[in-house]
Amino acid sequence: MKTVLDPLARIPGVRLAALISSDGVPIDVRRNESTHARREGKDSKDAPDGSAEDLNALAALSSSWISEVTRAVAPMSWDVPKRLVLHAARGTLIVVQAPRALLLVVLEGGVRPEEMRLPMGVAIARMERHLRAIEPKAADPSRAPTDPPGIFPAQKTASKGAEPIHAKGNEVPKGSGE
Amino acid sequence: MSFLKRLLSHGRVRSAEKRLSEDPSSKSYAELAQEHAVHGEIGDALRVAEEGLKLHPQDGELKRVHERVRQVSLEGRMRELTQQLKTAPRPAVWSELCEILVDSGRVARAEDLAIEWYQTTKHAEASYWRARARAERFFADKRRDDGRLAFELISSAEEMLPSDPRPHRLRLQLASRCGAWIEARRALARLLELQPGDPALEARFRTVATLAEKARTVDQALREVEKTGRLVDEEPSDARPATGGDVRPLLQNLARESGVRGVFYVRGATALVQGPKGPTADRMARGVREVVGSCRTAARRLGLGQAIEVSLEGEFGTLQIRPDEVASAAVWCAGEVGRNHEAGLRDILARSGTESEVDA
Repeated sequence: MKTVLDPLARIPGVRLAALISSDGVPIDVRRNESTHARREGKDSKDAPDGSAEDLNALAALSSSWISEVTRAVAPMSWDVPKRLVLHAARGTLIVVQAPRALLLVVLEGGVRPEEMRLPMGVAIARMERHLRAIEPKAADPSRAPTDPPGIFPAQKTASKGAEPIHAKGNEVPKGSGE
Repeated sequence: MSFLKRLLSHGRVRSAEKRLSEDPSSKSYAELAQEHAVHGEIGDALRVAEEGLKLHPQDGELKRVHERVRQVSLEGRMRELTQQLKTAPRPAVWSELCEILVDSGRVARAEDLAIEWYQTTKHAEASYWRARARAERFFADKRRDDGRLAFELISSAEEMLPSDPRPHRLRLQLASRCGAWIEARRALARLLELQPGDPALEARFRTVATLAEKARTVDQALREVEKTGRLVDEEPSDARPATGGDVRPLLQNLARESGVRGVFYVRGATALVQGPKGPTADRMARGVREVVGSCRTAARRLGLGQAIEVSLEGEFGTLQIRPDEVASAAVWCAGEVGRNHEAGLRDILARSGTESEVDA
């Protein structure tokens, strides 16, 4: 996850980058150290990037926001939004659907969310590449006979790969990476 | 400015004045104020905008021009004060700078300055300005943590400035606006000790005393404000009168742009929709309203301040929303949202007279 989040967190204007599960549990969080140090001098209660509780709250609130938005757009026969941007007076929250998780970035006020489209696309491509790299081990046929059968032996137990990313317009194409 | 430029701009000011005398409309006032501002005559620009606002108090464009000109004039004064802080820092300069920042809505900067002032000189008044800035932030964002911190900062300001009525007035304002009437009564009692016999305070004390009988605690009141996104003295958004003009033509114009599938304008329980028809239009308007509500709450809870713009992208295309305090405008496009779409949304809110400037 370090290779996924660190490049994002180092971008000037990024307050933090995080990977959270769809039910709001933080998987990994990276802060932009320079931004964090600058803000620490001011007020720890200001931003949602201070303590561990704040990070948990950020993850939980973000995921609940996405659930609410998904619920609101469902009657329009719209599927789950792939990219959500909440641009506010003192910062911007960007959430992108990543493979089996949500990639979340909080920007300082004054930074344009469009500037994060490419870096976030790259981060997701990295995640997909990583998942593809570890998948063959799980599906290795030489190891299969030694594995205990599941409760439904007739069913294939091969793990599901990464969900496809629907790249749009100026997003990075799948697998281009850095 | 060169002589030629000055001559040309004077000519433009004169022709704007002539247009205004022929047609004293809000547009003419706004144009003249802008010409003065471009020419660097900020005082004149401010005077013209104020005169226009007296005649057309509800005009959104004129209000924006007035606000911008006022900001420019304050910028000038702030530059002077910042320079003075470097050369001859003194409490009056710190205080005026904090006041200007708070009045111009830059509460984050005001709070930083108050902290810097306190750290530099340990002056007691700095604590008041810090509390004031935090209270203003609470009024803007309606976030419970901000309110709680504002009360804490007011308490420390009261300790440091025991005979100054300002921290007590601030406590009274904060408690009254969030509906913590017991706290408001306490602040009024303290103010009456400092200013005994003040008829306005006495009358207010009697009113608040009746309200305090079944009042919430501070924490309950703050939680309620965060939940509803509304202060006690604010009327519901759908109860406010519509101030601007007809937005339907702007919705139709935007709906005619290429790639636009639908345009929405939501205010209170009313929604205007261009694009989708019949039950689909109803469903979509309801969806947009729900998205706006959830985004406002999320922005407040996440400590990001007032939501300015929301964008949702997916298989359905892009839904771009501009939520405002009173109304919201949204555009649903097949592809990406362009600059003309964004400008269209801004125009719709400006026409409806609801678009507000927010602290960045």
